[in-house]
Amino acid sequence: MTEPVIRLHNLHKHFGAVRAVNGLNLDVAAGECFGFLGPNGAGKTTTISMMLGLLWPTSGQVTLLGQNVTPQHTAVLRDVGALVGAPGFYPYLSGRENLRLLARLYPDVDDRRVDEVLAQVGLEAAAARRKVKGYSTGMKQRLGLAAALIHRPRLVILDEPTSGLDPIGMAEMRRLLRELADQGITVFLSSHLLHEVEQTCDRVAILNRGQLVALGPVSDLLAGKHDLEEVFMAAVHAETPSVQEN
Amino acid sequence: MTTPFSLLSLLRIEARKLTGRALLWVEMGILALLVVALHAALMVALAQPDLQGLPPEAVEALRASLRWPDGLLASLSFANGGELGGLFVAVLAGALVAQEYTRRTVHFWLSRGVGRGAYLLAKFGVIAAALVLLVLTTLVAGGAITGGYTLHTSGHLPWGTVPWGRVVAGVFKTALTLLPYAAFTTAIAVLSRSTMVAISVGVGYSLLVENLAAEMLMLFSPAVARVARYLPAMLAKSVMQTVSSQGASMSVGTQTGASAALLEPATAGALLVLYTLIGLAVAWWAFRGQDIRA
Repeated sequence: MTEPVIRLHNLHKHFGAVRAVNGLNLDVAAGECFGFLGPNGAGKTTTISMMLGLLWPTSGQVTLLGQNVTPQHTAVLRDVGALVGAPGFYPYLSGRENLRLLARLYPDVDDRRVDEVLAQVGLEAAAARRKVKGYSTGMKQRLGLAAALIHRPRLVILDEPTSGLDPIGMAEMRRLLRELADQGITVFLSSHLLHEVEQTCDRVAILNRGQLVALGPVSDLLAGKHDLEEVFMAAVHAETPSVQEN
Repeated sequence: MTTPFSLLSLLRIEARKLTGRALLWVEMGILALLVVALHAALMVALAQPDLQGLPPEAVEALRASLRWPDGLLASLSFANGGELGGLFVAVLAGALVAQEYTRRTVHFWLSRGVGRGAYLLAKFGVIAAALVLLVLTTLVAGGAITGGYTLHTSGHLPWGTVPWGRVVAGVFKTALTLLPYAAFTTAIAVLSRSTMVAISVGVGYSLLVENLAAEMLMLFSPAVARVARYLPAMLAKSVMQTVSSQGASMSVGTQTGASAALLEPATAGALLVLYTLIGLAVAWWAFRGQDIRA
Protein backbone atom coordinates (compact mmCIF):
# COMPACT_ATOMS: atom_id res chain seq x y z
CA MET A 1 0.00 0.00 0.00
CA THR A 2 1.29 3.48 -0.84
CA GLU A 3 1.87 5.95 1.94
CA PRO A 4 -1.43 7.48 3.10
CA VAL A 5 -2.06 11.15 2.35
CA ILE A 6 -3.51 11.59 5.84
CA ARG A 7 -2.34 9.57 8.85
CA LEU A 8 -3.62 10.27 12.35
CA HIS A 9 -1.80 8.20 14.92
CA ASN A 10 -3.13 7.80 18.45
CA LEU A 11 -4.27 11.42 18.41
CA HIS A 12 -5.47 12.97 21.65
CA LYS A 13 -6.67 16.45 22.49
CA HIS A 14 -7.81 17.36 25.96
CA PHE A 15 -9.26 20.70 27.04
CA GLY A 16 -8.89 20.45 30.79
CA ALA A 17 -11.00 17.47 31.83
CA VAL A 18 -12.74 17.28 28.46
CA ARG A 19 -11.29 14.66 26.11
CA ALA A 20 -12.28 16.17 22.77
CA VAL A 21 -10.28 13.64 20.76
CA ASN A 22 -9.31 10.39 22.41
CA GLY A 23 -6.85 8.07 20.69
CA LEU A 24 -7.86 8.58 17.08
CA ASN A 25 -6.16 6.45 14.40
CA LEU A 26 -7.00 7.03 10.76
CA ASP A 27 -5.42 6.61 7.33
CA VAL A 28 -6.75 8.23 4.15
CA ALA A 29 -5.31 7.15 0.79
CA ALA A 30 -4.47 9.38 -2.16
CA GLY A 31 -7.43 10.26 -4.38
CA GLU A 32 -10.05 9.21 -1.85
CA CYS A 33 -13.11 11.25 -1.07
CA PHE A 34 -13.33 10.58 2.66
CA GLY A 35 -16.32 11.43 4.83
CA PHE A 36 -15.75 12.38 8.45
CA LEU A 37 -18.98 12.19 10.43
CA GLY A 38 -20.08 12.63 13.98
CA PRO A 39 -22.67 14.35 16.14
CA ASN A 40 -22.09 17.85 17.52
CA GLY A 41 -19.19 17.85 19.96
CA ALA A 42 -17.80 14.56 18.64
CA GLY A 43 -14.38 16.11 18.02
CA LYS A 44 -14.50 16.56 14.23
CA THR A 45 -13.52 20.23 14.13
CA THR A 46 -10.93 19.68 16.85
CA THR A 47 -9.39 16.90 14.77
CA ILE A 48 -9.36 19.06 11.65
CA SER A 49 -7.88 21.97 13.62
CA MET A 50 -5.01 19.71 14.70
CA MET A 51 -4.56 18.56 11.10
CA LEU A 52 -4.22 22.20 10.06
CA GLY A 53 -1.73 23.17 12.77
CA LEU A 54 -4.19 25.38 14.63
CA LEU A 55 -4.29 23.26 17.79
CA TRP A 56 -1.48 21.46 19.58
CA PRO A 57 -2.30 17.77 20.07
CA THR A 58 -2.13 16.65 23.69
CA SER A 59 -0.39 13.57 22.31
CA GLY A 60 -0.21 11.58 19.11
CA GLN A 61 0.78 12.53 15.63
CA VAL A 62 -0.70 14.08 12.50
CA THR A 63 1.02 13.26 9.19
CA LEU A 64 -0.15 14.91 5.97
CA LEU A 65 1.45 14.12 2.60
CA GLY A 66 4.23 12.31 4.46
CA GLN A 67 5.15 15.18 6.79
CA ASN A 68 4.36 15.67 10.46
CA VAL A 69 2.12 18.63 11.28
CA THR A 70 2.12 20.60 14.52
CA PRO A 71 1.51 24.34 14.99
CA GLN A 72 5.31 24.59 14.83
CA HIS A 73 5.67 22.53 11.62
CA THR A 74 3.14 23.57 9.03
CA ALA A 75 5.11 23.94 5.80
CA VAL A 76 3.35 20.93 4.23
CA LEU A 77 0.03 22.80 4.51
CA ARG A 78 1.16 24.79 1.50
CA ASP A 79 -0.08 21.84 -0.55
CA VAL A 80 -3.34 21.58 1.37
CA GLY A 81 -6.54 23.53 0.83
CA ALA A 82 -8.83 23.95 3.82
CA LEU A 83 -12.16 25.37 4.82
CA VAL A 84 -12.80 25.23 8.56
CA GLY A 85 -15.99 26.48 10.13
CA ALA A 86 -17.20 29.93 9.08
CA PRO A 87 -14.35 31.25 6.94
CA GLY A 88 -12.85 34.60 7.93
CA PHE A 89 -12.13 37.30 5.37
CA TYR A 90 -11.20 40.97 5.35
CA PRO A 91 -14.60 42.72 5.26
CA TYR A 92 -13.22 45.94 3.78
CA LEU A 93 -11.93 44.10 0.69
CA SER A 94 -14.04 42.55 -2.06
CA GLY A 95 -14.22 38.80 -2.49
CA ARG A 96 -11.91 39.02 -5.46
CA GLU A 97 -9.45 41.25 -3.57
CA ASN A 98 -9.40 38.76 -0.69
CA LEU A 99 -8.42 36.03 -3.12
CA ARG A 100 -5.84 38.24 -4.81
CA LEU A 101 -4.36 38.92 -1.37
CA LEU A 102 -4.11 35.21 -0.79
CA ALA A 103 -2.66 34.68 -4.27
CA ARG A 104 0.38 36.73 -3.24
CA LEU A 105 1.50 33.66 -1.30
CA TYR A 106 1.73 31.58 -4.46
CA PRO A 107 3.93 32.76 -7.32
CA ASP A 108 2.09 30.53 -9.82
CA VAL A 109 -1.38 31.88 -8.98
CA ASP A 110 -2.33 34.85 -11.17
CA ASP A 111 -5.47 36.94 -11.69
CA ARG A 112 -6.74 34.52 -14.33
CA ARG A 113 -6.65 31.69 -11.79
CA VAL A 114 -8.49 33.91 -9.30
CA ASP A 115 -11.32 34.45 -11.79
CA GLU A 116 -11.29 30.78 -12.76
CA VAL A 117 -11.73 29.55 -9.19
CA LEU A 118 -14.42 32.17 -8.49
CA ALA A 119 -16.37 30.82 -11.46
CA GLN A 120 -15.72 27.24 -10.30
CA VAL A 121 -17.45 27.88 -6.96
CA GLY A 122 -20.28 29.82 -8.58
CA LEU A 123 -19.44 33.28 -7.27
CA GLU A 124 -20.44 35.63 -10.07
CA ALA A 125 -18.15 38.42 -11.21
CA ALA A 126 -20.44 41.17 -9.89
CA ALA A 127 -20.68 39.48 -6.48
CA ALA A 128 -16.93 38.95 -6.37
CA ARG A 129 -16.42 42.70 -6.83
CA ARG A 130 -18.54 43.53 -3.78
CA LYS A 131 -17.02 44.02 -0.35
CA VAL A 132 -17.16 40.87 1.80
CA LYS A 133 -18.93 42.72 4.63
CA GLY A 134 -22.07 42.54 2.47
CA TYR A 135 -21.84 38.80 1.79
CA SER A 136 -24.38 36.24 2.93
CA THR A 137 -23.20 33.12 4.79
CA GLY A 138 -23.53 31.09 1.60
CA MET A 139 -21.43 33.57 -0.38
CA LYS A 140 -18.73 33.51 2.28
CA GLN A 141 -18.80 29.73 2.16
CA ARG A 142 -18.32 29.78 -1.62
CA LEU A 143 -15.47 32.26 -1.24
CA GLY A 144 -13.96 30.03 1.44
CA LEU A 145 -14.04 27.11 -0.93
CA ALA A 146 -12.44 29.24 -3.65
CA ALA A 147 -9.68 30.16 -1.19
CA ALA A 148 -9.18 26.47 -0.40
CA LEU A 149 -8.82 25.57 -4.08
CA ILE A 150 -6.97 28.57 -5.48
CA HIS A 151 -3.48 27.03 -5.33
CA ARG A 152 -4.52 23.65 -6.79
CA PRO A 153 -3.85 21.67 -3.59
CA ARG A 154 -3.17 17.93 -3.51
CA LEU A 155 -5.35 17.51 -0.44
CA VAL A 156 -8.55 19.38 0.40
CA ILE A 157 -9.90 19.42 3.97
CA LEU A 158 -13.43 20.75 4.32
CA ASP A 159 -15.37 21.25 7.52
CA GLU A 160 -19.09 21.68 6.86
CA PRO A 161 -18.58 23.20 3.39
CA THR A 162 -22.31 23.27 2.60
CA SER A 163 -23.20 25.21 5.73
CA GLY A 164 -25.29 28.22 4.66
CA LEU A 165 -25.75 27.00 1.08
CA ASP A 166 -29.16 26.63 -0.53
CA PRO A 167 -30.15 23.28 -2.15
CA ILE A 168 -28.74 24.38 -5.52
CA GLY A 169 -25.50 25.40 -3.85
CA MET A 170 -25.35 22.04 -2.07
CA ALA A 171 -25.82 20.15 -5.33
CA GLU A 172 -23.09 22.26 -6.96
CA MET A 173 -20.81 21.56 -4.02
CA ARG A 174 -21.38 17.81 -4.33
CA ARG A 175 -20.57 17.97 -8.03
CA LEU A 176 -17.44 20.00 -7.32
CA LEU A 177 -16.22 17.55 -4.68
CA ARG A 178 -16.70 14.63 -7.08
CA GLU A 179 -14.79 16.55 -9.75
CA LEU A 180 -11.92 17.10 -7.34
CA ALA A 181 -11.81 13.42 -6.43
CA ASP A 182 -11.93 12.50 -10.13
CA GLN A 183 -8.89 14.73 -10.68
CA GLY A 184 -7.01 12.64 -8.11
CA ILE A 185 -7.23 15.25 -5.35
CA THR A 186 -7.81 13.73 -1.94
CA VAL A 187 -10.90 15.17 -0.27
CA PHE A 188 -11.47 14.97 3.49
CA LEU A 189 -15.04 16.06 4.11
CA SER A 190 -16.56 16.68 7.52
CA SER A 191 -20.30 17.12 7.41
CA HIS A 192 -23.55 16.71 9.28
CA LEU A 193 -25.37 16.01 6.04
CA LEU A 194 -25.34 12.23 5.81
CA HIS A 195 -27.08 12.13 2.46
CA GLU A 196 -24.44 14.44 1.04
CA VAL A 197 -21.63 12.24 2.35
CA GLU A 198 -23.33 9.06 1.16
CA GLN A 199 -23.56 10.48 -2.36
CA THR A 200 -20.08 11.96 -2.45
CA CYS A 201 -17.65 9.87 -0.43
CA ASP A 202 -15.86 6.56 -1.00
CA ARG A 203 -15.19 5.83 2.67
CA VAL A 204 -16.42 7.29 5.91
CA ALA A 205 -15.37 7.46 9.52
CA ILE A 206 -17.84 8.15 12.31
CA LEU A 207 -16.54 9.84 15.42
CA ASN A 208 -18.36 9.95 18.73
CA ARG A 209 -17.06 11.48 21.98
CA GLY A 210 -13.63 11.80 20.45
CA GLN A 211 -13.37 8.15 19.44
CA LEU A 212 -13.76 6.35 16.16
CA VAL A 213 -16.93 4.25 16.25
CA ALA A 214 -17.19 3.24 12.60
CA LEU A 215 -14.86 3.21 9.63
CA GLY A 216 -15.09 1.67 6.20
CA PRO A 217 -16.20 2.00 2.58
CA VAL A 218 -19.67 3.49 2.23
CA SER A 219 -20.89 0.43 0.32
CA ASP A 220 -19.70 -1.93 3.10
CA LEU A 221 -21.22 0.14 5.89
CA LEU A 222 -24.50 0.32 4.03
CA ALA A 223 -24.73 -3.48 3.73
CA GLY A 224 -28.02 -4.54 5.34
CA LYS A 225 -28.86 -0.94 6.21
CA HIS A 226 -31.36 1.42 4.65
CA ASP A 227 -29.10 4.46 4.41
CA LEU A 228 -26.13 6.17 6.04
CA GLU A 229 -28.38 7.72 8.66
CA GLU A 230 -29.19 4.26 9.96
CA VAL A 231 -25.48 3.41 9.98
CA PHE A 232 -24.75 6.65 11.78
CA MET A 233 -27.41 6.19 14.44
CA ALA A 234 -26.36 2.60 15.07
CA ALA A 235 -22.69 3.59 15.32
CA VAL A 236 -23.11 6.47 17.75
CA HIS A 237 -25.38 4.43 20.00
CA ALA A 238 -23.37 1.19 19.81
CA GLU A 239 -21.18 0.10 22.70
CA THR A 240 -18.56 -1.53 20.47
CA PRO A 241 -16.98 0.22 17.51
CA SER A 242 -17.52 -1.06 14.00
CA VAL A 243 -14.27 -0.38 12.25
CA GLN A 244 -13.50 -2.10 8.96
CA GLU A 245 -9.92 -1.67 7.85
CA ASN A 246 -9.21 -1.90 4.12
CA MET B 1 10.27 18.90 1.20
CA THR B 2 7.88 21.83 1.00
CA THR B 3 9.51 25.23 1.14
CA PRO B 4 8.07 27.86 3.49
CA PHE B 5 6.49 31.05 2.20
CA SER B 6 8.88 33.96 1.73
CA LEU B 7 8.91 36.72 4.32
CA LEU B 8 8.75 39.20 1.47
CA SER B 9 5.42 37.86 0.23
CA LEU B 10 4.06 37.96 3.78
CA LEU B 11 5.22 41.57 4.16
CA ARG B 12 3.47 42.47 0.89
CA ILE B 13 0.28 40.83 2.14
CA GLU B 14 0.43 42.66 5.47
CA ALA B 15 1.10 45.95 3.69
CA ARG B 16 -1.95 45.43 1.47
CA LYS B 17 -4.09 44.57 4.50
CA LEU B 18 -2.93 47.76 6.24
CA THR B 19 -3.36 50.13 3.31
CA GLY B 20 -6.71 48.61 2.35
CA ARG B 21 -8.37 49.62 5.60
CA ALA B 22 -9.45 53.07 6.70
CA LEU B 23 -7.82 52.99 10.15
CA LEU B 24 -4.32 54.02 9.09
CA TRP B 25 -5.57 56.89 6.90
CA VAL B 26 -7.97 58.10 9.59
CA GLU B 27 -5.19 58.08 12.18
CA MET B 28 -2.89 59.99 9.85
CA GLY B 29 -5.64 62.53 9.18
CA ILE B 30 -6.44 63.05 12.87
CA LEU B 31 -2.76 63.33 13.76
CA ALA B 32 -2.20 65.91 11.03
CA LEU B 33 -5.20 67.93 12.21
CA LEU B 34 -4.00 67.84 15.81
CA VAL B 35 -0.50 68.94 14.86
CA VAL B 36 -1.87 71.82 12.80
CA ALA B 37 -4.37 72.80 15.52
CA LEU B 38 -1.77 72.76 18.32
CA HIS B 39 0.70 74.78 16.27
CA ALA B 40 -2.04 77.24 15.30
CA ALA B 41 -3.06 77.66 18.95
CA LEU B 42 0.53 78.43 19.90
CA MET B 43 0.84 80.90 17.04
CA VAL B 44 -2.33 82.68 18.11
CA ALA B 45 -1.12 82.78 21.71
CA LEU B 46 2.22 84.28 20.68
CA ALA B 47 0.45 86.94 18.68
CA GLN B 48 -1.22 88.31 21.83
CA PRO B 49 0.33 91.50 23.20
CA ASP B 50 0.17 90.25 26.81
CA LEU B 51 2.11 86.99 27.22
CA GLN B 52 1.58 86.81 30.98
CA GLY B 53 4.95 88.12 31.88
CA LEU B 54 7.01 85.60 29.92
CA PRO B 55 10.61 86.78 29.61
CA PRO B 56 11.47 88.00 26.10
CA GLU B 57 14.03 85.17 25.65
CA ALA B 58 11.37 82.55 26.32
CA VAL B 59 9.00 84.20 23.86
CA GLU B 60 11.71 84.31 21.22
CA ALA B 61 12.55 80.63 21.85
CA LEU B 62 8.89 79.72 21.34
CA ARG B 63 8.72 81.77 18.16
CA ALA B 64 11.87 80.06 16.89
CA SER B 65 10.26 76.68 17.56
CA LEU B 66 7.50 77.67 15.16
CA ARG B 67 9.83 78.77 12.37
CA TRP B 68 11.99 76.77 10.05
CA PRO B 69 14.43 75.12 10.61
CA ASP B 70 13.70 74.54 14.32
CA GLY B 71 9.96 74.21 13.73
CA LEU B 72 10.46 71.37 11.33
CA LEU B 73 12.39 69.30 13.88
CA ALA B 74 10.22 70.35 16.82
CA SER B 75 7.07 69.15 15.06
CA LEU B 76 8.39 65.60 15.28
CA SER B 77 8.02 65.72 19.05
CA PHE B 78 4.22 65.44 18.70
CA ALA B 79 4.57 61.91 17.38
CA ASN B 80 6.98 60.54 19.97
CA GLY B 81 6.05 57.66 22.22
CA GLY B 82 5.59 59.75 25.35
CA GLU B 83 3.15 62.10 23.59
CA LEU B 84 0.35 61.62 21.06
CA GLY B 85 2.22 58.90 19.19
CA GLY B 86 1.81 56.30 21.93
CA LEU B 87 -1.99 56.58 21.76
CA PHE B 88 -2.16 56.30 17.99
CA VAL B 89 0.20 53.34 17.97
CA ALA B 90 -1.78 51.50 20.65
CA VAL B 91 -4.97 51.82 18.60
CA LEU B 92 -3.27 50.82 15.36
CA ALA B 93 -1.31 47.83 16.68
CA GLY B 94 -4.22 46.62 18.83
CA ALA B 95 -6.62 46.66 15.88
CA LEU B 96 -4.19 45.15 13.39
CA VAL B 97 -3.24 42.21 15.58
CA ALA B 98 -6.38 41.44 17.58
CA GLN B 99 -8.84 41.78 14.70
CA GLU B 100 -7.12 38.87 12.98
CA TYR B 101 -8.53 36.74 15.81
CA THR B 102 -11.97 38.29 15.99
CA ARG B 103 -12.39 38.12 12.22
CA ARG B 104 -10.96 34.58 12.19
CA THR B 105 -8.47 35.58 9.51
CA VAL B 106 -5.54 34.30 11.56
CA HIS B 107 -6.92 30.79 10.86
CA PHE B 108 -6.92 31.65 7.18
CA TRP B 109 -3.15 32.16 7.07
CA LEU B 110 -1.93 29.61 9.60
CA SER B 111 -4.02 26.78 8.12
CA ARG B 112 -2.28 27.18 4.80
CA GLY B 113 1.21 26.77 6.15
CA VAL B 114 2.25 30.30 7.04
CA GLY B 115 4.66 29.84 9.96
CA ARG B 116 3.68 31.54 13.19
CA GLY B 117 7.07 33.23 13.56
CA ALA B 118 7.03 34.56 10.01
CA TYR B 119 3.43 35.73 10.42
CA LEU B 120 4.21 37.68 13.59
CA LEU B 121 7.42 39.10 12.14
CA ALA B 122 5.66 40.30 8.98
CA LYS B 123 2.83 41.76 11.03
CA PHE B 124 5.20 43.69 13.29
CA GLY B 125 7.37 44.72 10.34
CA VAL B 126 4.39 46.41 8.72
CA ILE B 127 3.31 47.99 12.01
CA ALA B 128 6.83 49.44 12.29
CA ALA B 129 6.52 50.82 8.75
CA ALA B 130 3.16 52.35 9.73
CA LEU B 131 4.89 54.10 12.65
CA VAL B 132 7.27 55.76 10.21
CA LEU B 133 4.24 56.90 8.18
CA LEU B 134 2.66 58.42 11.30
CA VAL B 135 5.89 60.25 12.10
CA LEU B 136 6.14 61.48 8.51
CA THR B 137 2.57 62.75 8.82
CA THR B 138 3.53 64.97 11.76
CA LEU B 139 6.60 66.13 9.88
CA VAL B 140 4.59 67.07 6.79
CA ALA B 141 1.75 68.69 8.76
CA GLY B 142 4.11 70.44 11.16
CA GLY B 143 6.44 71.37 8.31
CA ALA B 144 3.56 72.88 6.34
CA ILE B 145 2.19 75.04 9.13
CA THR B 146 5.59 76.14 10.44
CA GLY B 147 6.66 76.76 6.85
CA GLY B 148 3.62 78.99 6.37
CA TYR B 149 4.44 80.81 9.62
CA THR B 150 8.06 81.23 8.54
CA LEU B 151 6.96 82.61 5.18
CA HIS B 152 4.52 84.96 6.90
CA THR B 153 7.06 86.29 9.41
CA SER B 154 10.23 86.38 7.33
CA GLY B 155 9.01 86.38 3.75
CA HIS B 156 10.99 83.35 2.62
CA LEU B 157 11.69 79.69 3.47
CA PRO B 158 15.28 79.07 4.55
CA TRP B 159 15.73 75.78 2.67
CA GLY B 160 19.50 76.04 2.86
CA THR B 161 19.59 76.19 6.66
CA VAL B 162 17.43 73.10 7.23
CA PRO B 163 19.61 70.26 8.58
CA TRP B 164 18.07 67.60 6.33
CA GLY B 165 20.28 64.84 7.73
CA ARG B 166 18.99 65.59 11.23
CA VAL B 167 15.43 65.67 9.94
CA VAL B 168 15.76 62.21 8.39
CA ALA B 169 17.49 60.86 11.50
CA GLY B 170 14.78 62.52 13.60
CA VAL B 171 12.05 60.64 11.75
CA PHE B 172 13.66 57.30 12.58
CA LYS B 173 14.50 58.28 16.16
CA THR B 174 10.88 59.33 16.71
CA ALA B 175 9.68 56.04 15.22
CA LEU B 176 12.07 54.24 17.60
CA THR B 177 10.31 55.84 20.58
CA LEU B 178 7.03 54.33 19.34
CA LEU B 179 8.27 50.77 18.93
CA PRO B 180 7.92 49.65 22.60
CA TYR B 181 4.27 50.79 22.59
CA ALA B 182 3.63 48.82 19.41
CA ALA B 183 5.36 45.71 20.80
CA PHE B 184 3.57 45.98 24.14
CA THR B 185 0.16 46.34 22.47
CA THR B 186 0.96 43.48 20.09
CA ALA B 187 1.73 41.23 23.07
CA ILE B 188 -1.53 42.23 24.80
CA ALA B 189 -3.47 41.60 21.57
CA VAL B 190 -2.00 38.11 21.19
CA LEU B 191 -2.54 37.26 24.85
CA SER B 192 -6.11 38.58 25.02
CA ARG B 193 -7.22 37.94 21.39
CA SER B 194 -9.52 40.92 21.94
CA THR B 195 -9.40 44.23 20.06
CA MET B 196 -11.15 46.03 22.91
CA VAL B 197 -8.76 44.72 25.58
CA ALA B 198 -5.64 45.37 23.47
CA ILE B 199 -6.58 48.94 22.64
CA SER B 200 -7.87 49.73 26.14
CA VAL B 201 -4.74 48.40 27.84
CA GLY B 202 -2.43 50.03 25.28
CA VAL B 203 -4.12 53.43 25.43
CA GLY B 204 -4.63 53.17 29.20
CA TYR B 205 -0.97 52.45 29.72
CA SER B 206 0.17 55.24 27.45
CA LEU B 207 -2.30 57.79 28.75
CA LEU B 208 -2.65 56.98 32.44
CA VAL B 209 -0.31 54.38 33.84
CA GLU B 210 2.93 55.90 32.58
CA ASN B 211 2.03 59.39 33.69
CA LEU B 212 0.57 58.26 37.01
CA ALA B 213 3.46 55.93 37.66
CA ALA B 214 5.90 58.71 36.99
CA GLU B 215 4.01 61.13 39.22
CA MET B 216 3.77 58.60 42.03
CA LEU B 217 7.42 57.73 41.81
CA MET B 218 8.22 61.43 42.20
CA LEU B 219 6.52 61.39 45.60
CA PHE B 220 9.04 58.95 46.98
CA SER B 221 12.70 59.54 47.64
CA PRO B 222 14.94 60.78 44.79
CA ALA B 223 16.41 57.28 44.58
CA VAL B 224 12.97 55.80 43.91
CA ALA B 225 12.11 58.64 41.55
CA ARG B 226 15.10 57.66 39.42
CA VAL B 227 13.14 54.56 38.45
CA ALA B 228 10.86 56.84 36.41
CA ARG B 229 13.75 57.45 34.05
CA TYR B 230 13.35 53.89 32.80
CA LEU B 231 9.72 54.32 31.75
CA PRO B 232 9.35 54.31 27.94
CA ALA B 233 7.91 57.85 27.96
CA MET B 234 11.00 59.16 29.76
CA LEU B 235 13.31 57.23 27.47
CA ALA B 236 11.44 58.75 24.53
CA LYS B 237 12.00 62.24 25.96
CA SER B 238 15.68 61.52 26.28
CA VAL B 239 15.94 60.36 22.66
CA MET B 240 13.85 63.30 21.43
CA GLN B 241 16.32 65.73 23.03
CA THR B 242 18.74 64.75 20.29
CA VAL B 243 16.13 65.50 17.63
CA SER B 244 15.11 68.97 18.74
CA SER B 245 16.09 71.13 21.66
CA GLN B 246 12.74 72.87 21.21
CA GLY B 247 10.85 69.61 21.48
CA ALA B 248 10.09 69.89 25.19
CA SER B 249 8.41 73.23 24.79
CA MET B 250 6.22 71.86 22.00
CA SER B 251 5.18 68.71 23.77
CA VAL B 252 1.76 67.98 25.17
CA GLY B 253 0.75 65.46 27.82
CA THR B 254 3.04 64.46 30.66
CA GLN B 255 5.20 67.11 32.25
CA THR B 256 6.83 64.74 34.71
CA GLY B 257 9.90 64.37 32.52
CA ALA B 258 10.94 67.88 33.42
CA SER B 259 11.46 66.88 37.04
CA ALA B 260 13.20 63.60 36.44
CA ALA B 261 16.79 63.50 35.27
CA LEU B 262 16.82 61.70 31.95
CA LEU B 263 19.17 58.93 30.90
CA GLU B 264 21.77 59.45 28.21
CA PRO B 265 20.10 59.33 24.77
CA ALA B 266 22.21 56.37 23.63
CA THR B 267 21.30 54.38 26.74
CA ALA B 268 17.66 55.41 26.36
CA GLY B 269 17.66 54.29 22.72
CA ALA B 270 19.18 50.94 23.65
CA LEU B 271 16.54 50.45 26.36
CA LEU B 272 13.74 51.28 23.91
CA VAL B 273 15.08 48.56 21.62
CA LEU B 274 15.30 46.18 24.57
CA TYR B 275 11.71 46.89 25.63
CA THR B 276 10.57 46.31 22.05
CA LEU B 277 12.36 42.97 21.94
CA ILE B 278 10.86 41.96 25.29
CA GLY B 279 7.36 42.86 24.04
CA LEU B 280 7.89 40.87 20.87
CA ALA B 281 9.33 37.93 22.79
CA VAL B 282 6.21 37.81 24.99
CA ALA B 283 3.99 38.01 21.89
CA TRP B 284 5.97 35.23 20.19
CA TRP B 285 5.97 33.03 23.29
CA ALA B 286 2.19 33.36 23.62
CA PHE B 287 1.48 32.95 19.90
CA ARG B 288 3.76 29.95 19.52
CA GLY B 289 1.94 27.87 22.10
CA GLN B 290 -1.53 29.17 21.36
CA ASP B 291 -4.41 26.87 20.47
CA ILE B 292 -6.44 28.64 17.82
CA ARG B 293 -9.89 27.09 17.93
CA ALA B 294 -11.95 27.05 14.78
